[in-house]
Amino acid sequence: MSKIAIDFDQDPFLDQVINAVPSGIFVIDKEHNILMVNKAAAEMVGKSPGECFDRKCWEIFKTPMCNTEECTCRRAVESNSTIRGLSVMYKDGKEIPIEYAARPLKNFEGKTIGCVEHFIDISERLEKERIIVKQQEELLKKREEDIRHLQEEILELSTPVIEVWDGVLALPLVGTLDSHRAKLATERLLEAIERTRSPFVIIDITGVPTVDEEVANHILQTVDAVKLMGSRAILTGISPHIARTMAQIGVDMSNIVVQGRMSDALHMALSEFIKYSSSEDTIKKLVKR
Amino acid sequence: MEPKRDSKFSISPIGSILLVHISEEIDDTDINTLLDCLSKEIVRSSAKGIIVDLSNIDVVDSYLASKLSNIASIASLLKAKAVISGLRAPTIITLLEFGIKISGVDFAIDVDHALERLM
Repeated sequence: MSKIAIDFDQDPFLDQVINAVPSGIFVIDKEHNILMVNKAAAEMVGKSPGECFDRKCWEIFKTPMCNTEECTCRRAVESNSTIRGLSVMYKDGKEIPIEYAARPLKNFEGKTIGCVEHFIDISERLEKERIIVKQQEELLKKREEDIRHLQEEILELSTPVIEVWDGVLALPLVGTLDSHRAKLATERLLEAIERTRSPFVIIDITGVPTVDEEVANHILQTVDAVKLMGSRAILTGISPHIARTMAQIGVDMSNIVVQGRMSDALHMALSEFIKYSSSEDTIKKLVKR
Repeated sequence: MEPKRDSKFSISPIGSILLVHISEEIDDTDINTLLDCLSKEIVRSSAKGIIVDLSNIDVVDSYLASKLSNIASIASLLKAKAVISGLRAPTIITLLEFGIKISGVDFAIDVDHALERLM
């Protein structure tokens, strides 16, 4: 084996520098004999630098790649480039994950005479990454839960049934009506009618941005349900835009009582009350309120 | 033909109105008996309205629905108005889901409201 240009042992300054580096560094010749090894590298496998010196690198650092075709140093020398990667080392039977980089070592003539390998213990880093991933997952889960909770909340909020007068219920619909929401709103409304025995229900769609055939059918179904319950439904808040779409779709609105504003519907309900109630008490009761 | 004592329905006159109660276990033949009895009773008492109370019924199937429509048309032919009362929310939801229609008849939330409507 030809003598390497730098005699590490003869240079205490370089020796000190190399030993001061916290990551593992070792130098081998082409036959994989360790020419130089720093403290950190030896400690990583539970040895002292003296024990490692002049031995085969694969006897000391028993990574899964050592002494195989995959040997990092061999690949670095053969490809004449820097090889990086992740692997493991064993200290006292414990697995230590490492990140390594190997580079061919050349003499002043530019001839490859060996290889320098550098590696660091990444167990802490991996642990941190694991924690971050776990935290992210938890955060994501929490966010999903929050979103679901909010969606439920919105669904709850978006179908309130209001008693605007004795015997008059109002169902202000806000937002897009899908079949799920329509069903929920209908159920709520029927329950409210059952509870309050209201003869009139005002369904207000001021807050519904668009109406397609599906939404129109949902509204018609709700009106039908109200009718079966024995109450009368009054539809209010149809915007010009929606009126045009409904006419275009050809929705049959012949059985539906429509009023412009909710107040008109309330007027109508109250006047119907008066018309149909023969007893004067009822009228008095209504007017006095 | 008078309805039997253990019948699945009852017809009781309230003034000029006939109140019909139907119990949950009513079957197809009972309904036909009911139709028969009811039409005779409308003529006999010259009732101006009938109330069919369904508050004991959980499920209205398409057969019962068509018979209820029948009652309405019979009533209107005999110059009486028919009102169905007491349909409950779950029953109505089922009716809508299956697209079952009860036509030619008025609805009221309970017998009280039905009476008011017929008075």
